[in-house]
Amino acid sequence: MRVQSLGTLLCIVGVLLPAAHCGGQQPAKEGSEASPAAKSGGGKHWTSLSDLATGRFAVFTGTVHDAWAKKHYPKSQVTLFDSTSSLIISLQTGKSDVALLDLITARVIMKTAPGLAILDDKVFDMPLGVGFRKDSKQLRDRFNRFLAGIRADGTWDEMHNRWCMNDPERAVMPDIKVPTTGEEVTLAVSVEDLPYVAYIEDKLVGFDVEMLQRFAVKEKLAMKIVVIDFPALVPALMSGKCDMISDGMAISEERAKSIDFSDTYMTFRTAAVVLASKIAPSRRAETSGAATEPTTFVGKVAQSFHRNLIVERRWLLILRGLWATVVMSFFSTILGTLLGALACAMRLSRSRWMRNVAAGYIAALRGMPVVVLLMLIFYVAFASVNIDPVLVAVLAFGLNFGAYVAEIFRTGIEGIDRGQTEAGIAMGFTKARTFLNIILPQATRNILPVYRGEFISLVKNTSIVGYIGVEDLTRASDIIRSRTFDPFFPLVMVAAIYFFATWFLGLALDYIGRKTDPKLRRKKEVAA
Amino acid sequence: MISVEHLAKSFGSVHVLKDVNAEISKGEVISIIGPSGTGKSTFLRCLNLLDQPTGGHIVIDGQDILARGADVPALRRRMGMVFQSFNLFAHLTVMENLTIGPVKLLGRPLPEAKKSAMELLRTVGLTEKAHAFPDELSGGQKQRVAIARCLSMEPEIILFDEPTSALDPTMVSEVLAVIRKLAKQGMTMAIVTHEMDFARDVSSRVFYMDEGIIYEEGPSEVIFGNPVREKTRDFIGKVRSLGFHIGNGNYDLYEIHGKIAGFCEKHIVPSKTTTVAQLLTEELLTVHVAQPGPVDVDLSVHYSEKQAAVELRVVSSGPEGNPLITANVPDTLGLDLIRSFSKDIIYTREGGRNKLSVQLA
Repeated sequence: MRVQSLGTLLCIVGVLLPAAHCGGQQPAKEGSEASPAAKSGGGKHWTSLSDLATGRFAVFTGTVHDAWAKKHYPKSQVTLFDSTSSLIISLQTGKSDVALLDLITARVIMKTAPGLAILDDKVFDMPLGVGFRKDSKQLRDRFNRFLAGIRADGTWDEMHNRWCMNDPERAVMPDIKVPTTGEEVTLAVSVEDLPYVAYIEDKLVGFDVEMLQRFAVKEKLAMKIVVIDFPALVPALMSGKCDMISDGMAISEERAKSIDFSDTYMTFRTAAVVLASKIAPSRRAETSGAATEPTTFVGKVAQSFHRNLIVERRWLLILRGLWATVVMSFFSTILGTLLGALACAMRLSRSRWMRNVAAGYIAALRGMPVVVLLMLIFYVAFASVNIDPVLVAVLAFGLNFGAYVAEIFRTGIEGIDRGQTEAGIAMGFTKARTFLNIILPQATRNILPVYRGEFISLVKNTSIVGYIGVEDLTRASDIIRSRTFDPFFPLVMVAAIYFFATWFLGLALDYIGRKTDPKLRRKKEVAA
Repeated sequence: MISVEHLAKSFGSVHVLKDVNAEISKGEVISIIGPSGTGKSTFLRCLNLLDQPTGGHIVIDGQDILARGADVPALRRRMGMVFQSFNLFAHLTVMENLTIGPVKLLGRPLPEAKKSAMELLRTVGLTEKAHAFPDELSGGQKQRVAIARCLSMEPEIILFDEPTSALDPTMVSEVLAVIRKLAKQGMTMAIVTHEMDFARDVSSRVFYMDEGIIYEEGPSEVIFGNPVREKTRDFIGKVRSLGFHIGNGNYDLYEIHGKIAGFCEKHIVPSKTTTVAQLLTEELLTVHVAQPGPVDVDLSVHYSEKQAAVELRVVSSGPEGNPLITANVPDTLGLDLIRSFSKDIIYTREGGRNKLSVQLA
């Protein structure tokens, strides 16, 4: 386990060191045209997007930007990212040349992420809409009527001013009381960033959130909001996991084939964001301000700590994520251990079909990535059932853990000499009592070290549950990164939390190991 | 106490036990001897149903234990078993090995069980090892603990399955001494063993097992002193043998001579005797092959370690009659040679075949 954790830690550091080195956090200084980065780029400043015909584009997975970049710049190299923060970090660390983003989002980001500039602030325009399932036309019509209503009575202008014209970070989200009873609907968002959806002070805010909460109040809907990765929003809607999706989503032909969109609620303008040092100062439409960075190491850490945990009470996200991770790990372990014991018993049974069923289960589950299993259960098996994603995660990880544990148990039990069973039976114990009194205590000692390793993998594996909308520890760090664009602190912190969590849980298993060591037990007995 | 009727046991197509019949009474010490692979251990393991018999009956105190609904675990509590590989519970101390049965199966209170366990350890001379774990004991100590563990259940009979086969020669005697002590105290026992001297001393009755049955049984003095049947004699006399089958007249005599030479060399038979054995083999084969009818001869060479004597046995098909008398050979030189080099010649008719046993001088 120690080797595994160390490996994980090394990998993370390996990924992050170059990032830190490239000065991701260094503010770009005025007149940095002569910087090495600019020189290596050919020494020529970019003046428009056409200078980047063969450049590296960073775009959001499943957005119109992807299609647009491929169509207009066929020679470019397009890389897909699943979150705004990854997109910006790739730009800051020089892994991409240009990022295509919504203009308002880009402006918000430029405030926190230093060293960026907007190369082109009107790449193209797209209408934004709220997504509905094709079979819920009624709900869509109700929303369209509501939209027409707020456009007519000035509410829309008020909201647009609040989130899009003024500084969205200073916007104060009005307190809207969404009904708790009545017709139930679920809204899925992916918390990319302002102005559409963001977590601030541990609350979901933004234009889309305000708009849909107002809609819920007007139509007396008991609306629940769930958080799902952006690329998974459309599949989640189609499979019935939610009834509406909204997060600055452009109305594209591609999407309109699968789902219905409301009328346009806002026009979304795409901007091309690049490193400020890559373009001539005169051509910079807008640049991010030079943040005041502390110079000492302690000062930097303190600032990171403040920015990533204290501001907007972000520590609550981490705490909630840790709780979700612990709960999932705990129940998956229990479920998996029970399933594993059952599968192991079936594998050792005399009935051929029982053995085959167990062997089939073990082979199938071990041959499938957990993330695929997770999505199969969520989007296929329980497609039309309104089920808590945490429950789905426990089921998926429990099933997966069970398959591994069954084999661990089996080798542990088969490793015990047959003579032990025979001696127990010959003495007059029944088969079951022989197993409980003689075999199990010995097998436990064989099994524990491997079981411990498998358990730790399970805890770490739960970091993929963001795919089905569980806000676990990893997802919490993603959300924080989407606000602070600081790759280093949230990731290292989360890595450390995982390390210590698995370490403490490992200690608990070590305790059981010591409890079952007969020689240590004798020492106590003799001493007593 | 135990009555076994027509007991059979097969593993797949291998019939290990064919038809075993036996009676064991209270207070008897039965040794079960015989060559390897003749089902001695299987017989013992069938008695407490560690191996499920495929046929026959085992009746214990009037109760057929193979009947449906028989309480087998309860029955096993009354029969102890000592294994070749000890099989002490590896996760328990010696003391716990001796108390787990009485406490969990007989419902004895722990302090009482501990007290009697100490008594038993005194009997087998291992009181100071009460808190040791099995892997901290020597083989002989392990087996003595295993015997004490059996006794802790206060059994009516103990089955010993080759209790000394896995032991160093230096440790055999300490285990045998414990078993002798139990025999003296009148414990009923059935012992599968290869320790012949021990079996002769300790047992009241001996089962010689061969060919999947109890081939011969009798009091210890008879089986060891004067066994009735040939295979028993061979076994008791530690007879080694080498056999050939001749199916037609064109046999390879030089190959047979070579094999006899090798066999004799292996058992350190004097070279003069080897030459005689080869000579008589040649003459006996000539005589038998010349018999009327198809050639079907089995010739075997036997060497008894105990008596340092060589014997040739020839079994052949054909009309009844001593082949040496009905011999159809042009001259009597070969027959004279056979007679002059042998001490004793016995003719018998067994299973429709003629059999000649020729003891070399």
